[in-house]
Amino acid sequence: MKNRSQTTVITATRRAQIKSIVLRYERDRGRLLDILWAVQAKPGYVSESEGALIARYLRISPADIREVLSFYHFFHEQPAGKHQIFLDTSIISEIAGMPSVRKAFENELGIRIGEVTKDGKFGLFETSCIGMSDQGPAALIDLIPFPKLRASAVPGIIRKLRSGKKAGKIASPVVSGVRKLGPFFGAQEVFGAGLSKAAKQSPFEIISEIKLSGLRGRGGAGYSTGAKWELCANFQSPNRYVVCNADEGEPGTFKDRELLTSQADLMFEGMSIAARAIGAKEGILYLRAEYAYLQKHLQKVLKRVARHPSWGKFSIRIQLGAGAYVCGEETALLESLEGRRGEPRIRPPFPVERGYRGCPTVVNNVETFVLASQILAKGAGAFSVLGTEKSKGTRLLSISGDVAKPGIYEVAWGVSLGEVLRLCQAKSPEIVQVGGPSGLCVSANDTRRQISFEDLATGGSLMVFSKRRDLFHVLENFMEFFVNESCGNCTPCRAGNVVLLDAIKRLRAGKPHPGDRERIRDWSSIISKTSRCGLGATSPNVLTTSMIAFPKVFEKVFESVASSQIFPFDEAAATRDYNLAVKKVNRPSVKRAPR
Amino acid sequence: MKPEISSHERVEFLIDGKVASAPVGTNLIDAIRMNGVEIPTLCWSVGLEPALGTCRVCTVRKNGREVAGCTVQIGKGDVIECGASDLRNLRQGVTELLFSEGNHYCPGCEKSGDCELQSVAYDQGITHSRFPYKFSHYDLDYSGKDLMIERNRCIHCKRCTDLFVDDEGRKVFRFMGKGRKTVVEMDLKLEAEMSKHKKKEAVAICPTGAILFKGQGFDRPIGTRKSDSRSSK
Ligand code: SF4
Ligand code: SF4
Ligand code: FES
Ligand code: FES
Repeated sequence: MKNRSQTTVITATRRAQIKSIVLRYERDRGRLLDILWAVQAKPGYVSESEGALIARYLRISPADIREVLSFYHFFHEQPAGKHQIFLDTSIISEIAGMPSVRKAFENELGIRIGEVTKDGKFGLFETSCIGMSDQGPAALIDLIPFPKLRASAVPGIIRKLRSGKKAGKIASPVVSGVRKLGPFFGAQEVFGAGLSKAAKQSPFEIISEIKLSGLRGRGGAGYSTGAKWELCANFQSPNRYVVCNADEGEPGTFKDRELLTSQADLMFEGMSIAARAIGAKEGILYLRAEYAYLQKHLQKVLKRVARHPSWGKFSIRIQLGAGAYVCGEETALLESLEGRRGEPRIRPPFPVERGYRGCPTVVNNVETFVLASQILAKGAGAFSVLGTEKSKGTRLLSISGDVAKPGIYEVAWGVSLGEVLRLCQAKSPEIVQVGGPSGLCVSANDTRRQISFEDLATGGSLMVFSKRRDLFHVLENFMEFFVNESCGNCTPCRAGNVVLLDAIKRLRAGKPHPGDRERIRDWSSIISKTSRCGLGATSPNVLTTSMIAFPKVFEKVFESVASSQIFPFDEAAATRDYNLAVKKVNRPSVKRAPR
Repeated sequence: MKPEISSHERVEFLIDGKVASAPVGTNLIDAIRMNGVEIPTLCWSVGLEPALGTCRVCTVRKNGREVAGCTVQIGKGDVIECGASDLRNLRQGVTELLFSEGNHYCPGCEKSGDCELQSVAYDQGITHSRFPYKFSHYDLDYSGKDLMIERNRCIHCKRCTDLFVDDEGRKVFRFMGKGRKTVVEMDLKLEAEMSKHKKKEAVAICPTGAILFKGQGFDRPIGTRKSDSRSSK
């Protein structure tokens, strides 16, 4: 738990500054994230008294501010260093060499993870995947990505920062992760063709075209995009919104980073087409804080594309997130957009009915919007001839891990696992994690499995682990991730993932409790069936699927203890007294209904 | 927007294969209870709206899918399953999770006998948690003027943070942090200004012994409390 920061006196200048920030956002509580970013910008944190001041100007309770501040990784309530270093703890980063980089930072700064140097210059923290799995291990320093870090480079980086150089001037550039692009994301795609076509069509025609293409949302759930737009268009409302989910948080994926870098125009074009289809005047791009370095570039592209003659009456603003995986869930994203903790909403109502600020809203991810623009430009037929029965077209895979050629591949749905492993030149692959930690774990020998909604669905992440890797290390990293990223709202996800993490740690140490084998299944099903949102509903998947894919690995650990039962527990004996007491007081008049 | 419907209109649906009925738009749990079937709830209770959907102890199956019953309304022809053993196992599992996550030593708790968590556990016949007890450390916050927060017993239901406001309509309780580190905090300034009546309300809204009056212990003898030996329902 974070301690309360000292109440400090705010100088008159600072007071005026905070006031002008709040006024700049028109005292709109819905813009709280922007306000907090702006207030935090200089000192690197928002103190309790500053939070109270913001609350006063916004006419809300200080509680509302602190709730939000404490939810997001990149907001701080106490001094967190002038330069803030966030190390990427994804499993891919770990196996690529993060342990030695971490040590180098700790040594160089003389602090441990989570601490700030005495002079207040540096804060060292960890965070989940920052979207650099093709060029890890990586870190964010002052929100600038530092790809391909080596321990030997750390002293130099710190020295330059100390001497006053900006992080952006020190970092080596993020390189393109593209390996192979096909018919929809290649270089031949030009901005505007889809938009011009849409301008001549009715909303109904646009939606029909998208429906005909069979396009399904690329965020993971795979809902029909056309159906989503249609539903949204059919709800009565004076206002409607188009939201682009650029909160690419699933560990191991980075293709949206690439799209935002090189095909942002097509993404904006897709948003504009959606706006025409549903009748929206405003759109929002929710950009994860990890990609804040792309914000200026995106603004520039936006300015350019909005000049297109067919653009229409549609404005887009870019909202920066603040670090929370769960905000990739569309209703949590909407909460975040409205300036609150990113806790998933209760559904129904779905966003198409009541989304941003209570209005019908279409939320799609970056890749989906790019594809929508291409479907309009090339026609639904060109798209639907590719893929499988239920998975039309192509999709981008972000491949990382033990492969010679990590990067982004455009493949037609239905491609076999064997083909994918060949494409990326996997190095003695053993474990393949399809769809990130929330996805499925399969054996690399199952080469005939196919990437599709019918078989191995994926939001784009595909991680490969060689024979050298320890399955339990992978599992522990994933479960740790869920434990850290659970919003804490519902019981099974908040408390249950902790239980699973403990169990995995026992397995890794070779010391499972007797009965763990059966209990893990029981626990997993409780968590996945009762959780409130997708996070808890999918977090046990990796555990249950890896037990199926690698039974021998688990058997080995379970058998090693089977012979040495540590503490035999006789439940009947242990609860005898209790049961006797219950019998005594039990009144026959109490009817036992289903519990 | 929803069309206006007269509240007299009733819908028919199935509970575990038996035909049941309830007024249109009724909360699913309410609808089930109206038909004589009991389902445990913790974060939700009649009159506490909107539903929070945080505890998940009211899980049932609606048309083949598990849902937190309190978060949905009954619909015409819905097929509801409540009594299947796997569903009981889910609900009981969630309750047990709460016991292993917090530190609940009922015999020494001021709320014992009046506690909704305890009562739900009794109803479910829980003798111990199947999940290893965490024995986590939680700070007790005794710095309020009249109220204290005993975090060992907080089940994170969000009733206090989302459904409670002070005399002026301001939020007094808040969630801090996230994930397993989520804790409830109380705004000390607002608490100090709150009326006695409001404070009582705060204590009452908490289903467990997490929000209490300082210096007040057991006020009724054992045997006369709501759920000493049977369900409080
Ligand atoms: S809060 Fe309820 S369940 Fe927890 S110790 Fe008190 S009486 Fe027992
Ligand atoms: S303090 Fe009580 S009302 Fe508030 S979240 Fe915890 S258990 Fe619920
Ligand atoms: S992430 Fe919030 S309940 Fe699971
Ligand atoms: S009572 Fe339904 S989720 Fe808590």
